Amino acid sequence: MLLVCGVIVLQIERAKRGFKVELRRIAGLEAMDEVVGRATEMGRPIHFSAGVGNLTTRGAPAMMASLEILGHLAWMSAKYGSKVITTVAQGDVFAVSEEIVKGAYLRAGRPDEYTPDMVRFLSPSQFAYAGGIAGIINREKCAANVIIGHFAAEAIYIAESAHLAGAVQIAGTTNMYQLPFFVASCDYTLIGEEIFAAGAYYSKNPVDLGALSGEDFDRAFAIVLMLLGVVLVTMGDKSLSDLLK
Amino acid sequence: MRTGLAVVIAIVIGIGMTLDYFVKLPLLNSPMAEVRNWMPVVTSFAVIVGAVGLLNVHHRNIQRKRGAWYNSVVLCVVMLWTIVWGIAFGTNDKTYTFVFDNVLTSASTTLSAVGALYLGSSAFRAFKATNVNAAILLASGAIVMLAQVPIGEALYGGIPAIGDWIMNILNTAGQRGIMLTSGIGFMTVCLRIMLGYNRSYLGSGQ
Repeated sequence: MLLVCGVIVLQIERAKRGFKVELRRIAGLEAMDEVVGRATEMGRPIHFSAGVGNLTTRGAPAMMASLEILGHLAWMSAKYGSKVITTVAQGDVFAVSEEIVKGAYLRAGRPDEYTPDMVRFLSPSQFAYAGGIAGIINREKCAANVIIGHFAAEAIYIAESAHLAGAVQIAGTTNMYQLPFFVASCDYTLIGEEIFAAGAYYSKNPVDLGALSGEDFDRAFAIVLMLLGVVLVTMGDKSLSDLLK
Repeated sequence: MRTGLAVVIAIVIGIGMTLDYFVKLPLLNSPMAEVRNWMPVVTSFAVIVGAVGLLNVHHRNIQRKRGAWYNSVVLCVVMLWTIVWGIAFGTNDKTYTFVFDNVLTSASTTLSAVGALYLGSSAFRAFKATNVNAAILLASGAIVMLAQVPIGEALYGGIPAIGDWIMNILNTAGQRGIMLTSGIGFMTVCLRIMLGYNRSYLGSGQ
């Protein structure tokens, strides 16, 4: 763990000193502009959900990454005059989401356009939450549905409801069991680690870019370890696999 | 000042919790156990903030007679009744349990069942051989589905084995790859917060 974290910190420091990090194109993140443009042209709101996770359990990192995307989406919407309706399932996420959306309107120079109904707490119960989202998307005629974060069984219900309402959809999660549903139902899907690239993708600041570059080094290291493990185990040597247990 | 304090708290608690997991040191372990006890309390207060926010939004809907405002009336009445009744008579009360079981549980089950229907409709859209990738998805999906039902084996005896191979080798390998890279992403997000690099959770343009 120290090695993995050390590489990330090292890359952050290198990026701060001018090390250039190139980003590959991620369709789901690129499409955010299209989503805001569509909503602005149609004069309809965008729905955003970070899922049913909260900020203190296993899904917290995915929720944090998702809230970074919310910050960008809300800022873009504020800038172009469209509206994002953020629905949340947990109290702690509600408090943070409110601050993020308010902050985005402040950054866009339009703090007076923020209204309290832009962030709505629905229910911690997953199906009550999903039902609430389906109702909002249909009643408010949302032009787009952005669902990125920690989702469980309610994922397919939310995605299909939005599809039937005619909303363009960007989805993303690290939950392996829900990814196939998003791929089947949504126009763009961020798969696993792609949602963690959002911060660097939008901000382009050296810290985020360096962290992303550090992640790539760690992934390469993991691949090398795996290949080495396969070779060693095939040769009957289990020392590496025993060490990593 | 307020932002600085929040960042310091996040850094101290973040590093403390990580060390607490790896190091056995009473001086560190007992305060961190105390912090863990605070979490449900803080979360409960956050639910109250959320509930007040929800009532505010629907109260405004009723006041301004926005479209389908009568739904907001139902929500406010049911929510307030549930809170008052639950506090007055406890959550094990017969009436309270009856309403909970016959409204929330049955509505949740209904939505879950609709989800099963949606699975079919989304699969129908996804399983169209519009390009090579989609054709591979279609073929592998069809084999895996046939492998789960007796008719698959009746059509060709090797289908269950091929289905198992797709699920156990190709699917598991792909899933583990995504899980591993997501895990590294998890660590990066946590590290950025613990070192104070990521302050997006504070809002206000941080």
